[in-house]
Amino acid sequence: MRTKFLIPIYILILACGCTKKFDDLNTDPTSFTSLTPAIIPQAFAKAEYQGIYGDPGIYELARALFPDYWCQFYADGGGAPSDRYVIVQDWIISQWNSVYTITVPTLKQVIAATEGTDVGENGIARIWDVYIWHYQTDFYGPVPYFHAGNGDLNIPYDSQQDIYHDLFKVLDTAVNELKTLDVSIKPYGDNDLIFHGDISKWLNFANTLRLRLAMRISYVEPDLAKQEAEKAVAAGVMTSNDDNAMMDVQTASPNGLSLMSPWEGFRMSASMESYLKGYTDPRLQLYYAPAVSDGEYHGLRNGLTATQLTDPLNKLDNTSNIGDKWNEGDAATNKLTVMYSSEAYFLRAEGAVNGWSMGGTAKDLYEDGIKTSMQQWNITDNTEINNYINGTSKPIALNDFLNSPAVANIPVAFAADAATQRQQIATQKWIALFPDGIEGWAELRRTGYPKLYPVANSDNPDVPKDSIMSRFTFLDYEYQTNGKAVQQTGIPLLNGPDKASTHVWWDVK
Amino acid sequence: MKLTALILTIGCVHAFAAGFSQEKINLNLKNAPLKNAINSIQRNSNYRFIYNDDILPKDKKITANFYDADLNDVLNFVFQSTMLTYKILENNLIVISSQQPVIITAVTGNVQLKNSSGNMSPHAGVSVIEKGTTNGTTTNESGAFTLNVKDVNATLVISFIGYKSQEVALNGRTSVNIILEEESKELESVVVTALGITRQKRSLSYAAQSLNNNDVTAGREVNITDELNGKVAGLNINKTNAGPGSSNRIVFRGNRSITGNNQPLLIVDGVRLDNDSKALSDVTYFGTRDNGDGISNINPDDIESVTVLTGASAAALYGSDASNGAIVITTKKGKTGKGIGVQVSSSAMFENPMIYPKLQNVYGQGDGGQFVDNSVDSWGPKMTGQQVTDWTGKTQSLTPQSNNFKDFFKTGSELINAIALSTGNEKSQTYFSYTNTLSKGIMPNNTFKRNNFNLRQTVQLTSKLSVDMKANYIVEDVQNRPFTGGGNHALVTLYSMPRSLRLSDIANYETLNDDGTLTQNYWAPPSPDNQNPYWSVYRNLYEKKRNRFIGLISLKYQITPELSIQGRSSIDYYTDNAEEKDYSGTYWLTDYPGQGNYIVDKESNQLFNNDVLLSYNKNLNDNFHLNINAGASIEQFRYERTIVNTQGLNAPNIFSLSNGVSLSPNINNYYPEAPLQKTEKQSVYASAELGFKNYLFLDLTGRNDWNSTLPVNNDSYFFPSAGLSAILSDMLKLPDFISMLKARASYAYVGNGTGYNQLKPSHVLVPGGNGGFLNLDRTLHNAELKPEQTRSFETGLELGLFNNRFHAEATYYKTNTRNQILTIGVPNPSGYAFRIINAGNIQNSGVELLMNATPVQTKDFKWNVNLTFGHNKNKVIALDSLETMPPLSSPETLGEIVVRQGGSYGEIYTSSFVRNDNGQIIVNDNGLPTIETDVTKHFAGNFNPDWTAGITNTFTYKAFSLSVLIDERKGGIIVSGTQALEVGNGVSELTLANRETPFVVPNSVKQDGSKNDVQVTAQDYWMHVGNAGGNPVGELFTYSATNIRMREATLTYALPTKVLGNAFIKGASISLVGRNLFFLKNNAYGFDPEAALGTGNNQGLEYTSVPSTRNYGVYVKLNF
Repeated sequence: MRTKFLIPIYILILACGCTKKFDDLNTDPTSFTSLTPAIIPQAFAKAEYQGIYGDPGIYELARALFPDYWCQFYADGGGAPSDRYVIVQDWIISQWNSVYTITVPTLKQVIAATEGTDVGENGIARIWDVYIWHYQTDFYGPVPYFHAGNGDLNIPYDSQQDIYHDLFKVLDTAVNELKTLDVSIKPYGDNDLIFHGDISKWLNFANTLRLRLAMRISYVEPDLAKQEAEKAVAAGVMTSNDDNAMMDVQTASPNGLSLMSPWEGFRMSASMESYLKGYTDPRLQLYYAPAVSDGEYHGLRNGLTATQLTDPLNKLDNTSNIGDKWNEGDAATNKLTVMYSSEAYFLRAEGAVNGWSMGGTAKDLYEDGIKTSMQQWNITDNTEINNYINGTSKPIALNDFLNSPAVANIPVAFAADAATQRQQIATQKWIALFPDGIEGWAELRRTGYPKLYPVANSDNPDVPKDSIMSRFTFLDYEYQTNGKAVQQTGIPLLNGPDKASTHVWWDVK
Repeated sequence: MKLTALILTIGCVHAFAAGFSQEKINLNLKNAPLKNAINSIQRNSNYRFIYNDDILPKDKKITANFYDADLNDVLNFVFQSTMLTYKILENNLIVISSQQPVIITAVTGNVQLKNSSGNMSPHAGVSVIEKGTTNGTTTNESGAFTLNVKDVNATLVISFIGYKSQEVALNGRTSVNIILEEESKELESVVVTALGITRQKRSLSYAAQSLNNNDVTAGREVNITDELNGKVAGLNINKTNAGPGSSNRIVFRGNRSITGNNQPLLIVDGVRLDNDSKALSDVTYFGTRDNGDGISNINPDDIESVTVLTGASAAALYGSDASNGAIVITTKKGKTGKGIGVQVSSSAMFENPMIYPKLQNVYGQGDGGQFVDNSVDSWGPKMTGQQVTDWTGKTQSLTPQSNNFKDFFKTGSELINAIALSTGNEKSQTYFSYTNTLSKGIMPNNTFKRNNFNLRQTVQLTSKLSVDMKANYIVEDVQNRPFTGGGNHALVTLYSMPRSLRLSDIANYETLNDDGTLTQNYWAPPSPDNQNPYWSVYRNLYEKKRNRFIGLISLKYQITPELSIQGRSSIDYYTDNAEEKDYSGTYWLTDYPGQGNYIVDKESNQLFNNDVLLSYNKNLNDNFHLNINAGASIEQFRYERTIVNTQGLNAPNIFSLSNGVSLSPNINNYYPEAPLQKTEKQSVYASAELGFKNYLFLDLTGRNDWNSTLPVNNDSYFFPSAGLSAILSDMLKLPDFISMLKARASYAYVGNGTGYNQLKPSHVLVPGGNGGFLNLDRTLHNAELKPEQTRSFETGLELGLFNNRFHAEATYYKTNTRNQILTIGVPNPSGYAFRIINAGNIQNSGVELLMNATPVQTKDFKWNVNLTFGHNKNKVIALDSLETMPPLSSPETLGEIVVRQGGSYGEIYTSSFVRNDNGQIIVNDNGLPTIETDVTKHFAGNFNPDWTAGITNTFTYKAFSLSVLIDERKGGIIVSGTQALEVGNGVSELTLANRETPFVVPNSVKQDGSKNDVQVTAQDYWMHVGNAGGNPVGELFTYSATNIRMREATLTYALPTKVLGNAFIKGASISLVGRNLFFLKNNAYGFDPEAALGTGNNQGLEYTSVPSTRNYGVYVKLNF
């Protein structure tokens, strides 16, 4: 009888001796503690998808609700305050932590893990890193860059100038790495959601990105801009729609914009209506859908209050939603936009106006940009395209809620004077960039074009309704967690108060 | 006559433990007085003697040498050649008397036991002894006895454990009726303490509050913690209101851990039970799907007693997690007696919302003062009965639908039927119970079914070996338990929908299309935030089934009368199987390209515990008593979870995994945690209690844990405790009216580990892209974590006056928690969203008061008052390198909990208006207030109450008793997200002002400092400051959480035995029960400030919760 009791005691004594197995017990066998070569491609894929805010949750908060409204690709039919220039902290925080806690650390680890061993993977990751960072600094101006992702708890901000200079260097490194490789090597293979490891396409993309960055600083550092732009064009930029950077989607990583299209937030803006109708632009029917009530295309002024939105003219049924291409059902097949080749032509056209060596005349490049954009949307009838390019009609006045006059008075046909040319190039680029509002907003700020309707109301005391939003202010959460760095490095590098009206470094025009 | 109650009590306790058996006796004496022989037998056996000293012959000396001898042999030897005779009674009592001539008179009688709440019942086994003799008997089940006495003027001594003994002089009577009163509990009651060790309350050096079965079942709540409110001092409860069986957040003596667990341990029959509510602990105002906590699975009817240990000292022996105190539940065992004791009880409770939001009933659907048929707002025209063509296409009159919120809710019901059987003899006792709970929530389509089976078997295998076995099986099926916050689309819409919307119109919630899909009937364009509330409850289905088995086997071997060893094994295993079925036409499923969705979520939890306990209990001499316990245990926890999400369905509304568009383990990219988690804790522990003259007690405990969740170098931690308790009333000569005075003090040091896999990064592969995505861990881990430590000091006084008719207990405590393991937000540019640190020093200090008084007590009437009070003060003394901790939750403009050095835990900061130095609101160009979204600029208050108190008045008149509990929660704030929602939609009563004429925001200036003359409409103003504006102004929606409520009222009628006579039924009672009846005071605007979004630390924020309910019903109990 007594031996029975010895059994549990015995078990206990045995077990008490072996806490060494605790380490195994406390480790999850289904997860990874570091980036092993086998999972680097999946990490890079994540950085690609997250980097352009592909998922609907983040697409809405980082793109649709802010830059897409602020460059007037859409107006909000539901009265979202961001369309009245309010920076909603609970929304924009998602953009900030998406970049800094997902995309950037993932790329950082991929770059570190491939350094010196996987040259192709390393080069491509660096190019993508540049793409991420120019977005980020263009939003805020100074941002933590050099010390980001190091696990420090006080992360200084870096000036946009320093960041841009470094981005050019990173592009140099990446391009040099890729140039040495045999094109039959496919880094990341199909896990590269953009080019499936096609090195030559990545090189084209890198050069076009360099051209974009060069143009961005063209007003603040014209010499460097010229040098980098000419270097980019000489190395070969994107020239046809085959070169377009588009990202694969699927059920688990869908096109966020498509999934959100049934919501009320994507009404054609009045500005778009004035331009597209004035130019009888065939892209009107592709970008937007006819209004439910009358089958016609109607825009909506940005910045309306909820009360104003109750006017019959502003109701959802009477305004145009985003086009059928972004049907909810196609979210798993409709690729996400990264960069179009048409942009490269418009950048070169502006460079040519600047007197840079861009491999063509401003007019030819401008017209090629329009043509490439049209072709991208399967508008292939040359007569139609040529009629558009030579069109002299101007944006129209609208019979809308605010009886909006014509938004601008320029035609499509390329003008003779440089000032009008710049406006035309910017306007056509703006139309062609759709739906990439991040780039649309950046170029709106840099060039001041296209001319857009003022927002009907601004609830942001720092930005009057006839001005545009110049940047995102530093986040409340940054003040709360990284406050010292914001005060000591962020604001001093801003050259102005921390307001949405303060211009970023390159925005000097 | 030295017949002390104490000896009898101890005797009975031992007898019960050992059963009636032929125990073998050892007796080894040399020339000893007879009294020594008796004492020696008492010490070395379970037998106890009852005798009068005077009858022992002084000169009798005994020399004896018995080993394993029969009791009768020994006694015959000891009493040979004396005039003494002995009689062995049941319960191992031996009565010694001198032989006298016998004249026999038969006396009959009836004994009723009267408990503290005044209920009377008969009981078998009450001892009736003719004083000064060995002559005695016990009562039968109906309380009757017959005793042949030798003296018609004899005195009867009637006694029963736990009741005051009574002496009744017969004075020639041959029939007597006796009522035994329950002994006042606080004085002599025994308390189940750590590890299941039973101790006299007088010896405890810390606060321990005991509740009996009646205390926790009177209100007929499914979750017994609901019944602790106001009955336990120092307790703070927040309810999730997620329908029947929902969870409660319980906090004793304030919050100690900033981001960790603050809830007490749950111990059932000596073993820890998993009390996880399986709800996300860090909820934003989306709330969570509360799945019921562990304690809500315990059947209240099976509970014998509950000991609430509010402090760390009390729980120190339990080891990790003990810093939050413990709720120690002892369940019923079978009882020795003739036949089978049967108790049948049945209760029917009903519930309705006790509080409704304050909604306006003047303006109808629409915007800008105009009727708009598809608007979600109530900014339309004044409702005057005008004819409008509404969203249904019909032309109807526009009239206030004042009850369209109220009428959505059903009358909830809760039917509990229980049967309990108890039987047993000296060797074996059995208890079996079955309880069926059928409940309907106030939300349509929310039902709750539960079956509890409980079998308890205690067996005395040999005179030294006993076994205690328990098997508890629980089957629970809950349909459509509502979300606790905004995740529940039904409630978000219900709270905000137009005031002119007819419930009868929206009750028709769907249209079937030709292709088999459904279209939701909704009055506005599709939106991820709103749906037809009926669609939400009937077409977004969620069913959760739980199967839980709790098993326990405990073997105890009595090596010697002083020394015993116990081995125990227990398992708490449960599986949760949940299914979510979302029909095609559901608006918020934008993540899924297919129509509708189907999610299967399976989870299992297993807590396996093995321990041994060695106990040594000895009277060292007449003065000193020593009790030592030493043990070791291994506790293993295993958690497994599998979630499969179909990412949409190919064929509509066919809910099967094979009909899924693309199976994936994720829900909206939310990855719960590792699918398999295992933790283990190994422990050794010991306690010693040294008693001096039963009035001075020294308590020492020590425990060492090895915890698998900590780094191997830091995984071992030791925690000691020490305590002293003195019964001053026994030590000193005090005035007679002081019946009891006790002082106590204790100090404890307890440690704690952390959760599974917190030391290393864990990157996980998830679906996405062309071959998966790797999600990097966003938490910066700390491979060198140290265990948390809490130091706790408490001291207390207990006072009994006037024979304990007045009893009070006061406790002061102070705890300091250091090295807290915190998961905190970090600046995102670090590359991480969170990091895990050891930091801080959080101090809680406060007082707990308990008072019980019986101001009036007559033969038929008794008035009893019970008062509890708890006050806690929290201070953040240090946060290490941090001065202010990042917000606990993901940042919310409405309100965030911010922890800062020098502040106190639970401080809420909210967004606010930007004001100039004169306090005037600065407006923008449109005349609307400028909003400061950085919440750290505006301190709103602390969500913790300053104090809580409860007062219970119990009136007993004959067989009636009425008990009324009122409790108060004083201080603290709550921010109402619901109100922020309601003002934006124009449904709140607050929005009635200035509806028809634009106004200038009062007390405001323009940015340049000039007078504000810009008019705004009510709609633009309220949309701007409410939810709709994106930056709701928390300052406007902050309310005091102070409230006083009628918590519980019960009226009971216990059928007197006289009425029942000798009928088959031995006892019957019927009660009318009311819970949460009404507020005597409530400062919150149309909601219950105690409603919680979840059981985590993110409190003080309310958002579209299910309204708190008023419960009322009837409870019938029958004993056979």
